[in-house]
Amino acid sequence: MSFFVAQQVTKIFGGLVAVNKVDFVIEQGMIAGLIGPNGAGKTTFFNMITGVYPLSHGSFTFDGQDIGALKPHEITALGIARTFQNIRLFPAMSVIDNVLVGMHTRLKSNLIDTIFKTQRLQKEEEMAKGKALDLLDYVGLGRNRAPISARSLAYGDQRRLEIARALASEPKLLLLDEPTAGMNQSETADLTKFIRFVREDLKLTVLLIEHHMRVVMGISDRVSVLDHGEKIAEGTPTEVQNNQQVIEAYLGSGAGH
Amino acid sequence: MGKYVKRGLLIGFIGGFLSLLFGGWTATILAVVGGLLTGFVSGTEGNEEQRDLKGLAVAGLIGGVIMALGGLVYDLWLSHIAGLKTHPDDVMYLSAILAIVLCPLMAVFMGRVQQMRDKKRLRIVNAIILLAFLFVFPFVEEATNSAWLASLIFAEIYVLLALGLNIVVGFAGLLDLGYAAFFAIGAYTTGLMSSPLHGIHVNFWILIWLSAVVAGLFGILLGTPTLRLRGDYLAIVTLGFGEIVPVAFTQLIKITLKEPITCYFVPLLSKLTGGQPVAQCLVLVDNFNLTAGVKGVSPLDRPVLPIISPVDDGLSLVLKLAIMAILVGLVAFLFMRSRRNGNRSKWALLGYGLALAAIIIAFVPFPKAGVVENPDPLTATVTAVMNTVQPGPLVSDNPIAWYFLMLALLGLSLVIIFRLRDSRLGRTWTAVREDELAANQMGVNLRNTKLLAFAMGATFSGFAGAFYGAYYNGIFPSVFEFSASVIILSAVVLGGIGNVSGVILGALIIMVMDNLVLKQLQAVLNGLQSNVLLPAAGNNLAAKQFIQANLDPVKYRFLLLGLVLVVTMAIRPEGLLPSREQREELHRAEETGETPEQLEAEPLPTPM
Repeated sequence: MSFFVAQQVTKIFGGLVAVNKVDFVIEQGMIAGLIGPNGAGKTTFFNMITGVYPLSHGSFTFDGQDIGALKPHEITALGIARTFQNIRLFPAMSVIDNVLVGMHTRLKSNLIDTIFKTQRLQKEEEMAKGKALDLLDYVGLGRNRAPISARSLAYGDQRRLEIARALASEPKLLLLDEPTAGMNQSETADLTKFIRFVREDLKLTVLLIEHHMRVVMGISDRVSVLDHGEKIAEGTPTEVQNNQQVIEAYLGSGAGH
Repeated sequence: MGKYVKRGLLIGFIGGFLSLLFGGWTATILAVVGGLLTGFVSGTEGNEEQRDLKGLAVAGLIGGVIMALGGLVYDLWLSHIAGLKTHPDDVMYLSAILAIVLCPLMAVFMGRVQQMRDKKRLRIVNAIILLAFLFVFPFVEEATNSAWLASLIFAEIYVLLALGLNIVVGFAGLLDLGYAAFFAIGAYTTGLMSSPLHGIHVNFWILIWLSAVVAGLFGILLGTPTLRLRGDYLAIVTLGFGEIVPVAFTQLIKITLKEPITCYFVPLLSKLTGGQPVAQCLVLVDNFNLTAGVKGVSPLDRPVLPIISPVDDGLSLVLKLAIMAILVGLVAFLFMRSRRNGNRSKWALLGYGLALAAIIIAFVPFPKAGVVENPDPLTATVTAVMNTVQPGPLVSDNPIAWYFLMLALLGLSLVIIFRLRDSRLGRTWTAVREDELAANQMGVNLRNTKLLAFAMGATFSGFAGAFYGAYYNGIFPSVFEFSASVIILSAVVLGGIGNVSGVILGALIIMVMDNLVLKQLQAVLNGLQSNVLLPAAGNNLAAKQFIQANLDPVKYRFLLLGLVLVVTMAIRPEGLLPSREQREELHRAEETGETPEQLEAEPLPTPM
């Protein structure tokens, strides 16, 4: 059984078929790329995996477990974390609190612990804060920026914080939705390197949506292409790059001639 | 310097207006408060060089003079023409002089304190000054006979309510327009179980917790089906609930419960088959009056209050307070020590034990100190002073005891609220408020998180309700109508949504205005009306009617409340004391010169 399997996954909004019978497999430790032109259904696919949209048809299996009917928070607890295409941090909260919210599913303290400030709570909070600071260092934000509000971070740093927040939930599968959107070339190169490093270091599996063809081709082990909600190609980056259908989907049907 | 003159004029204007309404010692009391506040505010701004003690003295002096003038105008002129209570000459002049002297002194003293470099120590010192003020205030109030304490106790209850609502609205961002419903549920829980109405007399000290739990359960009950709604929809549902509850308490006076099978099903069946009904209808409850309707529940059992228990001797009170103080000090010491050592359990356990002992001692009536023949001057003085503090024999009619009780419970609530805010739960509340979808994707269970916020808010409301019932000694459904929810929400908005100290300030301002200032203003205007305006109107009937119909500020309380809110929203939309987050959010656009829309807009993705 593969690590993550999507079978005949379909999403219908009213009369519109946003994702149509997509089959998709990710093996453990892989960086999988998901590309396609605007409106191809990539983000919808992400939202289905993480439980934001219920499936119209089909199933998802993650780590041997059917997650198709689970609630978003249950899916996160199983070990799938994500970032967002249009950054969705908690802007008014401090940088460290953003990361701590990401850690939510890994913390246990409850209402009684909180009201009586039990030792368990104090130990856990101390541990969590230490871990969060380490994570800030890890993604290159630096722990000295922990107390400032997330809103005041620069754009690229907000992206980093989003990744830190996702990593805080100790995922086995990390979903990155256009992580280099809005970044310049050197920032993009840094981030690409970082994604590769994280995969090795944390033994993660990564699913990456990208608009930047170069980024995807550079780091993905396997690339799938969506167009109009259907998977039109799959294979190694080189295979996909030379696929006629893909070129047409991206550049219009006249491009091949 | 201009800044300080302005500030002096501001406190002078507010304090002077109040002294003008009340006269007597008001000017002095307000001068102390105003001076301390001016000094304190100077500490929250700028760097230390900018804190100018001379400027503070000037501000204090201006404020003090205006307040003194206000008091003098009342006692020399206004009280006479309006036919209100006058104060003796010595009180009047002494109060004015003290106001002028104390206001700058307090401002400079507090400003000097704020210059302390050790921030942690400064916080402790500020807290001590605040506590000392809160401790001394009721005794001063009693000694100066200004009859504010009853209003202040109501204000304390509303502070508790506002703090509870702040959890729901401020922390979790759920707009609740029917918050008073939980207040009513808490009050009625206490009322029904400790009054002659049903002959149930549960001890008040059990009931307050029970009321809080019952209100919390109702919070869960209401929240479960409705919290999936967002924003406006939730507000409408809570509004409906807020309307239903007082109506329900008014109407639950003829409850009849019939057992359904024998009363409805069997007769229906026999009717259909044409036979005679065989079973006897079983009536479970017949015409039961649960809430006494509009008449309300009154009186309630009088609780035994701590500290001032049935003693009619000042000395035993002093002894008791001394023992309490030593115990509290020990407890504080133990907790600080345990924290420093990192080895909490042992010392903390001892601390909890001593705290419990202090609470028990607070309830134990101390024996009367024997009458000492020819006591030494010190003992005699202390006895005399303390005896002025002791009112009648019935304990729970002593407002000072209620004041301190509410203060202690407010303190307890604050500790809980701060712990909630800074915990894993508080973080999820903020996260849900900020971005529900993102929070959900980070593993936050939305339903449980919102439900908990709702239930916690309701719990505090129920807590406040229990106190309200017991203190007011009566519960009437009209108190819990929509207007109560509006007032509590206004307090939260006025003070600064989400910020605990702001919310406290907002609730204090609104309640003091509503309960104290407006009533006194009414008395003054009534006096003026009958003594000055009506005679002046002479035979002009239309003018007389106009004056009689319109010169009543209490009629306009909601108009005034609305005005205050409109002005606040126009000048300072984040409230008087906003949280850092709110301030940033509302003023970000000004600082960067961009509109919020531009800031939120996505940068365009670069083409491949």
